[in-house]
Amino acid sequence: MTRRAGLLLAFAGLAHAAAAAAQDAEPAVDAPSIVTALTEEEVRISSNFTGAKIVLYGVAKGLEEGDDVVVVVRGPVRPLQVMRKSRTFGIWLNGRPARFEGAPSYYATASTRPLDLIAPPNNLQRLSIGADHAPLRAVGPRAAEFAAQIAEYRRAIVRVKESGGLYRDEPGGVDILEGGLFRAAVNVPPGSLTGRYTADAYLFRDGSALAHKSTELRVVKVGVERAIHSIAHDRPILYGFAAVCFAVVMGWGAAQVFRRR
Amino acid sequence: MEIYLPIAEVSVNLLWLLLLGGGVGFLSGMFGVGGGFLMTPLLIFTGIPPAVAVSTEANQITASSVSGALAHLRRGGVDMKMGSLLVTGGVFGSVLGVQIFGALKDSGQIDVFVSVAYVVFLSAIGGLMLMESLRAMRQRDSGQAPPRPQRTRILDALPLKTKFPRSGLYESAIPPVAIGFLVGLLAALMGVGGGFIMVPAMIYILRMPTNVVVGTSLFQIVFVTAFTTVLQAAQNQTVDVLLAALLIVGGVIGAQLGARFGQKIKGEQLRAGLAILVLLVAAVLVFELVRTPGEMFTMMSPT
Repeated sequence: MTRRAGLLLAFAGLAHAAAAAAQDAEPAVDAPSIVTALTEEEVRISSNFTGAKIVLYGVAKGLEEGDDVVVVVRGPVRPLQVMRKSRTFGIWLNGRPARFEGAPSYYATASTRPLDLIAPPNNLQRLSIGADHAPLRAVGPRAAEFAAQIAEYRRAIVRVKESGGLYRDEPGGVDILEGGLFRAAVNVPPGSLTGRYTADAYLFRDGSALAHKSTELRVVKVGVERAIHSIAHDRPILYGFAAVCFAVVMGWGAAQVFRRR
Repeated sequence: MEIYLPIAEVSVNLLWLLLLGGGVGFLSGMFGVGGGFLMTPLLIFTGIPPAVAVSTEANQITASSVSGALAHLRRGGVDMKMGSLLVTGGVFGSVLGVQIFGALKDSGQIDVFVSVAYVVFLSAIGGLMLMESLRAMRQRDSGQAPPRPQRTRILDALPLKTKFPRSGLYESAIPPVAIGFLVGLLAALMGVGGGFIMVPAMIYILRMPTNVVVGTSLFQIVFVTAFTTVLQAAQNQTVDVLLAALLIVGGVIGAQLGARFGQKIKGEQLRAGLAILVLLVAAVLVFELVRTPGEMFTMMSPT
């Protein structure tokens, strides 16, 4: 799908949803609402994948001066093993791993202003908006020990993920256009896990969320990447034999080609 | 042009991978060494996860050794009986190595382990090669012959003696199995063929005639690296065939060019050059290990 076509479709979807929302909202005239659409609902990881940039468009009905829009994109949640380095005999070794659950593999926020100006921490935490508010918890045999240091580990997770582009926080990442139309860029870097992502848009007024809309985004591997990855994990022994056969044929074949010349 | 590697899950420059394969292939063609001990650390410097670098290298070494092994086989340069014992030991070493590898990967220690193992090996190999080439340079100048290897008597006392007709030997089957075991262990843990250990061991410990040493060593390497590849794929899912394919393409071309180039050049200076390169790679690894890291935390998703 070309970018232009994607954009058109996104707008078509938006118009349709806006119309539907308008009908739904008929009884309570003043209740604000949000509709959103993505320029692409599927990010395809192929062999030339160096990251994808898609745009979330939305309409906030009943948007008033001073309101804020927050867009949160969350990737699939996976357990994490975090290790603190320590110096042993002059060498930096990884310490014993701390296990955590609840951290999204990908987490991006974009907003009209910095989050702490939009709403008090409690309200953000309840909606788990902001990487600092991901529902992280220590698990495993030494959970109690690590739970005590969870704030430090949380900061480390956010920092490391941010350096890989998997966590991002962009205050000012939401542009408000005319008539309650807004947009936010969503960057999906290489190293993003495949699976279902959610893109949530919130309308904030006076520190609380008045309206919310969730859209789904899929990240999939396609083509050769997908074939290789799925065979490697689903049929690992077959994969190993295929790798060996391939190596033998290549090594032997190349030598034949060179010998003939 | 960037290419996304499906198992390593990183985007790497395609041309750089081909050049890397070609460059290391060139050196291995010129010196007749496998090149795994250079390729694995260079892949790690490139940003490939160490676990993937080690396992994928085993796959590449199969490709780079198979044509040489076949050529020696046709020429009768393989002691099949000795080779089989070396393979047997190698298979057991590889099984143990892949278990250790998996345990280190799960506990998050594999990166540091691979680095430390490489520092030890590269320093030893580089140091020995440098001394050897310096000595050869001196000897050529003074016209002396190299000293003959001493006969090792302890090994003659080992049981399970058997005949090796192709090598013209009658000796215990235990040393070849033990040597093969060590080499298999290294193939799984470090992604090297192990020729740099096996060849001297065959000459000095097993006392095999030189005309079957290289062929038999390649024979063992093909089987053991192939076995290791299947095992790593089955147990750790760390073999990236796309990465292997690119390295193989660069590698076979580089090796052919290197072999031609190597015939025209004086050996000792080149060997000294390679030794310095190996020591340099070890120095970079040491620097990475002792340098205070900018980020004190690392993380991984357990599988």
